[in-house]
Amino acid sequence: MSTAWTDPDPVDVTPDVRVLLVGPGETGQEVSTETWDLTRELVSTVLPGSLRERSGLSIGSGSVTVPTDPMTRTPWAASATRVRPGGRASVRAVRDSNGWSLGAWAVGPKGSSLRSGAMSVDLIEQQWVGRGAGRSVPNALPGDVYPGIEPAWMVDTLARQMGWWTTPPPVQSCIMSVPMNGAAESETPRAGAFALTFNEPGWGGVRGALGMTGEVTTFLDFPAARYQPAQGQPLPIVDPILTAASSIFVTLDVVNEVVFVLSGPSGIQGYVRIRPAQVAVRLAESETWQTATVTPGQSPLHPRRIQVEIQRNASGVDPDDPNAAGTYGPLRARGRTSATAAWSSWATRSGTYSGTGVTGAAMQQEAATGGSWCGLQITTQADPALWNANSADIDPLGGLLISAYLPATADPWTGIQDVVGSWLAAAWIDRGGILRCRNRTYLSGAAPIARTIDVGQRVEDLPWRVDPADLADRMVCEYSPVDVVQEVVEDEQRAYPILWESPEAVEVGPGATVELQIDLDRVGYDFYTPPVPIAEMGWGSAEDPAYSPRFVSTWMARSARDGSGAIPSTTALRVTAQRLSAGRARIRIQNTTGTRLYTVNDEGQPHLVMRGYMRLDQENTATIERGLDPAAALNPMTVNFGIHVQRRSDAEALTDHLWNRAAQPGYRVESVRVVPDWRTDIGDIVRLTHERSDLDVKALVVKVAMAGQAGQITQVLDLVMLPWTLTDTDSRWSTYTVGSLDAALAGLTVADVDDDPMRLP
Amino acid sequence: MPFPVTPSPVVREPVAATQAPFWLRLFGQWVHLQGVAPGAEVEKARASSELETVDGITWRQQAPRSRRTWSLDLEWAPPEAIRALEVADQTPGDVWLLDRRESVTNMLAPGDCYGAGAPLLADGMPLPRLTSLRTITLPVRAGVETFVSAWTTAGTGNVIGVQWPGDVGYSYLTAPGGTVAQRVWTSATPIADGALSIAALAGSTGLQVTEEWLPESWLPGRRCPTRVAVTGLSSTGRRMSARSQGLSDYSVTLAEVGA
Repeated sequence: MSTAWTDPDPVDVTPDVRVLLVGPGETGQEVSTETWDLTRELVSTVLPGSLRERSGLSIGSGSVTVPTDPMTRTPWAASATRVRPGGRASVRAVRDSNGWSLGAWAVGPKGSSLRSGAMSVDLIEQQWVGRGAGRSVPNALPGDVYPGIEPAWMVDTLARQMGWWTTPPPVQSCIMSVPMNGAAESETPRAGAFALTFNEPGWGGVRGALGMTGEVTTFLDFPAARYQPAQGQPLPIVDPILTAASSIFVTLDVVNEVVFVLSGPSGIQGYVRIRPAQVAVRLAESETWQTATVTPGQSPLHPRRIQVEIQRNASGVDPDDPNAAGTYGPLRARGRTSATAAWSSWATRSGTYSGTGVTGAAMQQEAATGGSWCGLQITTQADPALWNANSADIDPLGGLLISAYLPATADPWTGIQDVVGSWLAAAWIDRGGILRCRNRTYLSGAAPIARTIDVGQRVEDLPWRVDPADLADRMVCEYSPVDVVQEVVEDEQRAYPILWESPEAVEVGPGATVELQIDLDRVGYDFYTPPVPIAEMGWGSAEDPAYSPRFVSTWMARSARDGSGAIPSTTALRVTAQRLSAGRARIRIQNTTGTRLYTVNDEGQPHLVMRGYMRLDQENTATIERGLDPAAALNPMTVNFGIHVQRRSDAEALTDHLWNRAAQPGYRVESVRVVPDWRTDIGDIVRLTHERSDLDVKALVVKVAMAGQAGQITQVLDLVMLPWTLTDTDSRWSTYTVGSLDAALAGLTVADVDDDPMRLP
Repeated sequence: MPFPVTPSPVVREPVAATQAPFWLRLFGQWVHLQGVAPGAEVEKARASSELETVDGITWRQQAPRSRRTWSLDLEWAPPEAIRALEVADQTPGDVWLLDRRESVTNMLAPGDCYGAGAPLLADGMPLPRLTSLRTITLPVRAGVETFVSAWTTAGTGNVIGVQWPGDVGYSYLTAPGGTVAQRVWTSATPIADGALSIAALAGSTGLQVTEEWLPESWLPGRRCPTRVAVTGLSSTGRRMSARSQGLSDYSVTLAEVGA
C-alpha cells in the first residue's frame, strides 16, 4: 500500500478527498466527497491560440459532490441547516492521516434534489470572486525621470491589495515600508521615497521582491516629517524620531552591503552599514566603522533578511522642538537574522555629540560592492510578523515602464493579468495559495526542471498534432510608446498640459458641496504629485487675475446654466482635487455663496480644467515586424502587447521571443493522461523522455485536470513543448573539453546539429 | 362446512427455525435472525481502475476498502422470522449486522489488525508491527464471552490495554517474556452491550477480537458487526390458509454502509 503522494505503487490506494464547505455564517464540517474534479489552467490572454506559448491568466474551476441529507439540507430549512449561496471550500486529499492540500476555492452554484442523497458544488478560484475595484495602481513616479519602473511593480502593488505579499505587509509599529519591488516607491506612507541613480541601475538584485542594482541612493522621508494636507494646501510638519532612549528597527533583505544613513533637519546624524553578517556604525564618513558580527541566514524562510536595532541616547532634547536639537550619543546598532535569534553584540560609536532628531533616512548601495536591498520596514517594535512567510513570488518581467497606468475601474486581479499578459508572463495562484508570477524566460523553460516523466512508464498515450496554423511566416507586434507632454502651446502661449476637462456643467446649490469621481485615461502628474499625492490641490478661478490660468487648474462659474447671469467672485467656488490612483481623482466643489452656480463660462460651455506639469499620452501604436513581406506571407500573425509595453527595446525583445517560437515548426501535446502525481501544478517545467521513440523534450505544464471517485483518480495534463534554451545547451556541453568535443563532433554534419543540438553524444 | 364467522384463536405453526448465524441490531438491541437458509452469499466489491501506459505497464488504483453485500434467503419463513428485517427496511439508520462466521474469525477492521512497521512471524504469518499507539473501539455483545489477543515480541510490561463495557472493567495483556514472537490474550463476558476499547502499544501486531472462542491462529479482520442497509426485501408466497399464518420464501440484501 502506497503512502507517498509523489511515487505511487503499481497498486495504489486512492486517498479520501475531503472538502470543508463553509457557507456564509457557518463553521462548516469536513466531509468526504463522492466525486470531485479540479482543473487549473494557464490561458493566453494576449497571444493568439495558435502560438505554442501560454502566458497570462490562470483559470481554476472544479466541482465536488458530497453526501447530504436531502430533507434537512435545503434552501428552505430552518436556519441552522439552511443551504445558503456562496461560501468557501478547502479541498484536501487524506491518506493514512496525511493530508495533501488541493487548494482553497470559492463556492459557486450548489444543487441537490429531494430524491438525491448528494449535493453538487461548483468551485471557482477565489481570486475570481468578490473583486471590487481597489485603489488600483497608485500614481507612481514617472518612469522616464527616475530609475524606471519594472512592470513587476504593478503586479506586486496590485497583489498587495489582494493580500499576497512578496515582502511583509506593514506591521502595526511601521514608520515606513519600502518593498523595492520594481519601483522606488514607499508603500507606507504613500510616497515619501524616491531614488537617485548614478551608475547602471537596474532591477532584480533580490529574488522574491526585486531590489535595485547599481549605484543608487534612495531617500526616505519619514511620514512624521512630511507634508500634511491642511486647508487644501500641503504644509510641512516635522516630528523627528530617535529623540529619546528609544529604538528603531530596520528590517530588510540585503545583498552584500547597504548603508542606512540617518538624516535630520541639520544634516546627517549617523551611518549604519548593514551586511548579511555584520552591522557597523559611524558618525561621519571620516570615521572608521565600529562593527559587530551577526550570524547570517538563521531564518530558513528569509535567508537574506536581517533586522537591525538602532539607538542613540539623547539628553537635553526638547520634544516639542521640531529640530529636537540637543546632545546625543553614543550611537549604536545590533542585528539578528531571525525573529527568535539572539541579538548580536552592539556596534557602538562611543561618545556624545550635538545633533538633531531623525526625520528621514537614505539607503546607499554601491555598484562596486554589488549591494542591493528590498523589503525594508522601519518600525518602532521588533514585530515577529516581519518574519512571516511570503505569500507571493513575483519575477521581474524584464523591461521598464514609463507610464504605469490602469483604468480605475479595473479590479486588481484583472490588472495583474493585463500586465503579465503584455509581458508574455503568467500569474497564477498555486496549489499552496502562493501567488506565482513567472516571466517569459521561465515560461520558455529557462528554469529548473521540476521532474522527469518517463513517458513509457507513466503516460497512457502521447497524442501529438502538427498544424500549419501553428506556424507564422510573418509577425507584427504592436506596442504603445509613451509621449511625454510637459508643456504645450495654447493660444500661442506656453501652458501646462490638461489632465482632465469636465465634459458637462456641474450644478452647485447655494452653500452646497459637490464631489466628482473622475476617471483619467492616462497618467498625469499634478503640481504636487509627487511627492504629495494624497494632498488636496487648490484650484483657481480662471477669471482671477492673480492666476495664470494656463498653469493651474481652473474653474469658471455663472448663476445660469446657459452662461448668462452675474459673474460670481473669484472665491465663489472652493475647488480642490485629490489624486486617488493613476486612473482616478476626486474633485470637491464647494459653493461659498448664497446663489446656485453652474461651472460654465459665459458661453454656457463647461469649464473645469485640471492641469498638471506632465501628462503621459499613449495615443499611438508602433509596430515591429518579423518575417516575410505582407504580400508574400501566407500565415501572418498579429500580436498586440497593449499599453504596458512602451519602449522599442522591450517590444523588440518580446517580438524576438515570440518569433523564435512562431517561426519554427513544432507540435502540440494536449490531454495527456498520466499516472497521478499530486505535486504537478500549472507552471511546472517537466522533462519528458521515452526511449523507444527517442523522445527527450522539456515542457511547460499549462493545464492540470484531476478528477476522482472511489478507486479512481485521473490526472490529465496539457503541455506546451519548449525549445531547448541556452541554459540547457550550456549544462549539456559544460562537461566537454576541447579535445573531447572534437571527438564527439567527428563525423557529424550541420544537419545533425540543426536537427537537435541536445541529441549529440 | 360452514365458514367460521369469528376467527379461531391463532394457531402457532411449529416452525423449525435454523440457528442461523446472523444477528441484527435494531434500536440498540440485538435480534437473532432466524430461518436464514444455508447458502447465504457474501459478495465483496472494491472500486478500482487501471491505467496502461505507452510501454504496457499497468497501474492500478483501488479504493481503501471494499464493500460487502449479504444476500440472504429465508425459506418458508414465518412472519416472526422476517419482522426484524422488515422493520430495518422501514426504519433505516442505526441497523447493524453481526455475521457469526465473522465474529468468530476476527471482529476488527482489516486495517486495524496490524501496522506498517517491521513484520514479526505470527505462527508463520508475517505481520507488520504497529509503529505507534493504536486505539480501537468496537461494539461487543452482552453475555457473549469475547476474546482479545495480539502478537508481540516484547519481553516485559503491558502491551495491550482493554476496557470492557459495563462493570467488567480493565484487562491488561502483559508480555509473556522472552524475545520470540508470542501471542497474548484475555477474555471477558460483558454484562451489557457497549464499546470495547483496545489500546495497543507500538510493537504489537496481529490484533484479534473474537466471540466465544479464540481461534488457534491469527485470522484477518472482518469488520464485524457492520452497519448495513436492508434492501430488496421480496417474498414469494408458499402457503396461505384461512385458519393459519401464511408462510413465504423471502430474499433480502444487506449492504454494508457507513464508516
